[in-house]
Amino acid sequence: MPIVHLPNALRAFCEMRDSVEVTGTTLREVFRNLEAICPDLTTQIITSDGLRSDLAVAIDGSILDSRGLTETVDTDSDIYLVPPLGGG
Amino acid sequence: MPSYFKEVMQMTMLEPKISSVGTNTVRPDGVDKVTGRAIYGADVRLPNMIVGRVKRSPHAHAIIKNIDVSKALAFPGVLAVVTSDDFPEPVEAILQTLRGPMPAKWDIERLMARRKVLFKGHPVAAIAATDVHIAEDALDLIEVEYEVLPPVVTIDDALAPDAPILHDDGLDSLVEDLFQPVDGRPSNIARTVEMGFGDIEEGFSQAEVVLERVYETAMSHQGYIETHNATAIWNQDGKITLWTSTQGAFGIRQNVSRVLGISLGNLRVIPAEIGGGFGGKTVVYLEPIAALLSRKSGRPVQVTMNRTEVLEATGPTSGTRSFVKIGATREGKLVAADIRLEYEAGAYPGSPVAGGARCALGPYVVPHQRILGLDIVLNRPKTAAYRAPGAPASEFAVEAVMDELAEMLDIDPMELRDMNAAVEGDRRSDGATHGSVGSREVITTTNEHPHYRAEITQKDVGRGVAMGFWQNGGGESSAYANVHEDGKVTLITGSVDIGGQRASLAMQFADTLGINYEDINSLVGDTDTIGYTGNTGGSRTTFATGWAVYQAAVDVSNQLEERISKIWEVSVDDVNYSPIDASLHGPGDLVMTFKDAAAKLPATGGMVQGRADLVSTNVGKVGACFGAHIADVHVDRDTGKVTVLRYTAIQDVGRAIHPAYVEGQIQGGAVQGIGMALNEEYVYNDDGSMANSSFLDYRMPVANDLPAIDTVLVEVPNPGHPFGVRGVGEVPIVPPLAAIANAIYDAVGIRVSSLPANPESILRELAERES
Repeated sequence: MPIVHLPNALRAFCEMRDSVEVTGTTLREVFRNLEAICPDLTTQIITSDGLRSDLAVAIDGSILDSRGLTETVDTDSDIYLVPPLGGG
Repeated sequence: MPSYFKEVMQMTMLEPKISSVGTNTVRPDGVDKVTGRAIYGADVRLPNMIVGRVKRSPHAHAIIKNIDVSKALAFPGVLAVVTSDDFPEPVEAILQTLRGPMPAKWDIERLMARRKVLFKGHPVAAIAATDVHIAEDALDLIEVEYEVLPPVVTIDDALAPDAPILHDDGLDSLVEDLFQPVDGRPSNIARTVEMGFGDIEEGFSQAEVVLERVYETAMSHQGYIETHNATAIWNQDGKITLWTSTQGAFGIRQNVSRVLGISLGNLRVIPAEIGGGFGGKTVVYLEPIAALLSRKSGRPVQVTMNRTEVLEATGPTSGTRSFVKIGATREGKLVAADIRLEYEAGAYPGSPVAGGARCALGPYVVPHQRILGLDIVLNRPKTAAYRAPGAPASEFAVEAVMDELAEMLDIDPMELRDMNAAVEGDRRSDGATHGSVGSREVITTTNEHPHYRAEITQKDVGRGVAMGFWQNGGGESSAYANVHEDGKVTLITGSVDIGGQRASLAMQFADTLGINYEDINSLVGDTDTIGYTGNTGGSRTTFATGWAVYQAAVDVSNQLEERISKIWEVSVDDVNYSPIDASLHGPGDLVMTFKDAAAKLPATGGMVQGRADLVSTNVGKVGACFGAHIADVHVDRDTGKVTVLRYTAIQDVGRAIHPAYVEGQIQGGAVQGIGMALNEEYVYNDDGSMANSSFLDYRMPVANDLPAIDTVLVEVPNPGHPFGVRGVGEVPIVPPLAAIANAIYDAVGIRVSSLPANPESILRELAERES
């Protein structure tokens, strides 16, 4: 099952878990299924326009260039949510 | 293949005959700045404008029992007084940020204290008066009754079992959730950051050598020359116009809108010329206060800070403590790292500890790693971003250990870095992998540099080297390009120009179309004249707004193709704009130059505006940045003074759009890092007051303290950008801390673990070593 790794800032929306195993073959399916496990978390990741623009998503290390939720996910994929870094 | 790669590849095939990219063009704002004509925030003059000043707390930690402004209000010439009571209650009790939920009231309480003051200099009231002398005299007439509390000044104070708790008023679940309870009691530790991968125990079981060290850095300030200022006029129709010195007008608009409860559409923020920011001018301090004073007085109001106010009450970077444990094989291969970072947040949560955590091991491959970051509140000003926020401290700790490891294993320091270098495809601490990066090229260039190989013959002179890594930023930008009938172009972007962006953006626009740089008038827009654009910061502007400028230029070429196809009476598909000769090409021999086409625009439907709104560049396109610095220092054993004799900064810059500006960024960053290493620190008295709140006592390095900073630009183009741009401004502040500390060791044999390495600490270390 794909694993969604959560940054600290989002753990409060998922019982302080650092990662969650979720079924799904696309990002959309993964996040939809994630909603059943942690109902408040998905709205922190997805807006009505798609993935939140200030949050990067890396699937197996590769950061997505597009904001598409149709990206495919393997059964053993690691999905990292990467918050932005404030710069100086 | 993502569409932008097609665009990039197309661009690389089309090299214009006239090219400004890679040359040192004249900056558009240069003459105004050197002749004093440039309008900075404090130069703004409006009819009937009056002056605002801020009453600040003399205590670092106290409960406000009462504020009486009646005498000040009665003082002749005083037209308005503002306290926290004048701010509206937040619409939402909780702000959802990517740092997690935050109480919205903190947004206001940081600007103007309510129940408690949490640092010396915390605003408690503000006055608007007809002149500055009246305003300053009237400040003394505001009577504030305090119940003084013991201050929390250091990390140890904050973590003590019986420490006073700064945010003890919450008692609600949100504040309880924000601060990690310790032994069932509220604490001053606001949320943690954890990251890493692998099996830390397994990793250390493979280690043949393990080093475990503790390092400290001091709170330090960005030290921008221009102090904060804000000028506001709150019109009777409810619309507000603000002039301010900021790195991002849209961020200021968002924040002011939130704390004043007014709509974005009623608020126009005009960024003035800016005299330095380095991250510190991304935060609202005076703007809402000036606006409220304007509303109450019915006059335009200008508020400025003096240097003491800047040092005591704006956002320096954190003082830090880093616990680093690194394991390696005897051959020098890193196998495990366990790091705990403690960062001072100041009075409210939000230190750059996440940046420190994400960058600490950035230059290296470490298969088993665990990083924990603590965000600790204490009675100091709330920290703000400062060039590569968080990274200098954490990377200092790792780079100092790397130097010690190299000596222990008898491996050349750069060779040790080379054998552990993170390259494309290697995993970063945050879970993503490195894209195309120039780490190996930087290491090779450093290794081969004459400075690195030069022999040291003088006594008490040593050499140190260190790496630096910063992820760089993307984000949103807009650009509009108005083509005039004489072939000139007015290019408007939303990026405040701090480091020469007007030039570097115009150069990218010019080369995209193959036109002359001199034909472009490059301007910075405000929140009503340009689309949303993020801050100038995070090394994002030349990269991200460069993308917007490129797309605006492509939009211009597309529109020109359409217009000229009508004149030629051919299909638009048969007309192609070429930047090679800055001309449109049609069937047969049909050719028309950009200038000729521009002249025909009035007759073909009017002038053309190329637009790129809200171009969003996410981190997938951003090219991360690596640098390596070499420092030679002399240590005076009698005085403890460390003198930098020679300094070289080598950096992967992607492609240098304007090489002189790139060199300037690297030199400026290096000097700030040297300041952190040798001189700069907030010195606190026991009562929580800052003992050195002026530039006489807060010692920043100046030109005659330093040698020329030599730079080597290594160009490994970023494939995620049409011109191969990588952000260059952040990473050069990272390596100096460890490069200097490692050089001091090489010179006199003392391992500096606490910065700054000022004469007092050097003498102490030398004495301890001799005893």
